[in-house]
Amino acid sequence: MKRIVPIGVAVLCGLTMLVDFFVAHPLVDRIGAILVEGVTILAAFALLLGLLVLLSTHARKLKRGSQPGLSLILLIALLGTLAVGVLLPGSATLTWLFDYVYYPLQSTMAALLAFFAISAVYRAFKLRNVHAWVLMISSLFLFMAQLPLAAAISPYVPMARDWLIAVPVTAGMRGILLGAALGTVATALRILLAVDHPYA
Amino acid sequence: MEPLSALIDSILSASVDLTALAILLVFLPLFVVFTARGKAGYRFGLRPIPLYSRIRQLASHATESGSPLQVSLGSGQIGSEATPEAAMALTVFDYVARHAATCAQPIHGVSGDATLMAAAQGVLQNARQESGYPENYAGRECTFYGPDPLAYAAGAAGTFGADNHLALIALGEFGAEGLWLSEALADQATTRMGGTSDPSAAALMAASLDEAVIGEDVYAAGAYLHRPSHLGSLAAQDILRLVIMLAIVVGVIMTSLGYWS
Repeated sequence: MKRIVPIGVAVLCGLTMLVDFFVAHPLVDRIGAILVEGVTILAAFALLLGLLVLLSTHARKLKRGSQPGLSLILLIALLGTLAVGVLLPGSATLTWLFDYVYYPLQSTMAALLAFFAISAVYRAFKLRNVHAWVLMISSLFLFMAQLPLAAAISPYVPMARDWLIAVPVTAGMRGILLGAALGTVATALRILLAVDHPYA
Repeated sequence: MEPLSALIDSILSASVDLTALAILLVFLPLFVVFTARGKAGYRFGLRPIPLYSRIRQLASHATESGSPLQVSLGSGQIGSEATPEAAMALTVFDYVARHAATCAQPIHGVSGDATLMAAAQGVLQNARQESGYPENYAGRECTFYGPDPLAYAAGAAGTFGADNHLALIALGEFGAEGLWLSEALADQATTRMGGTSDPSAAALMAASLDEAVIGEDVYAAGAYLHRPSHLGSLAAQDILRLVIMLAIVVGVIMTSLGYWS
């Protein structure tokens, strides 16, 4: 019973949303809208649960003494932002917190991505197999072909570059997208027909 | 009868996505037939996917060594468009959790979405109960690191180093944070593997991870690990892929011959 009820509810809600996707009928649309609203409310409660888990995890770490400094910073930042948000909603203090603490931190982390991408590509370029050779040769060609000098060497170089991007790269991307779309349909059908229930 | 005819009219109205309906109508019978065959015991041939073989090995290794695996479930919200990817992340987490639960070993799940964390907690609780050690479930092994993807990656990377994990499995919905997480752990000489279906993020993760899956292989996790019921849908996918390839070839020939502009 503990499993049948959630599976039954999931199948019923999923099928209703599927019907709502294909049918433009006021009653079905209304039921679909109610279900979507329900998801939003559930997600909000889940966020509250997530917040409590985060607080308890770092309070425990603080007590245990494993990386206490980082946990303390996290707890102070979390509770401080929460207090400002609840007590002074829409205030200049809250805007300041986002403008001068949150966004700079986010930008700093995003900036690291450039270095991470270079280090990942450096490792991928180790010529271990045919894939690595293809990756390296095509990447080097594309880098070189972007230079203004490339057109001076031969007018065919920019043409080859455009062909590489328009044909093999686009074909590969579309192949991945088509495969992923089929996988999505298969996964959705497994859940809708109760063949799979990863949540219960 | 009037509401019924109105309903049928609305189905046949121009607002219906006929392409999606056609794909569904072709896919559904294939799915039902192959899933029924799979459930009847028919064994479908599977090409090897190294990532899933490694996950099997590492799940066993983790139970023997006592060092937990960290399963990073991504940022896909259950109930959003990312639900199928989130479901696959949960399937992998379920596999690892069942292995860990059998020997009362720890496991760690991290997610960037609260609904996914709640679902992972349910999966882990079931695994602990079914293995006969319900008392080992404390609700602390699945952590949520906030809805910001980079904050999630930073939190997951920090936890990984602190708790002496054996390996990282990052499979689910990832963007650039997948690269961030993987590269932040690169100097810890540990196994990092996973994948995502988004082509841009998948390219970055494939370059960075030791073992990676991209695109449709992400959705094959269940069939390769512990859900034989998924095999039928994989076979249905293969048939439909052949149909699409045939349609593309026919389309190219017809267009080249000038039948379609």
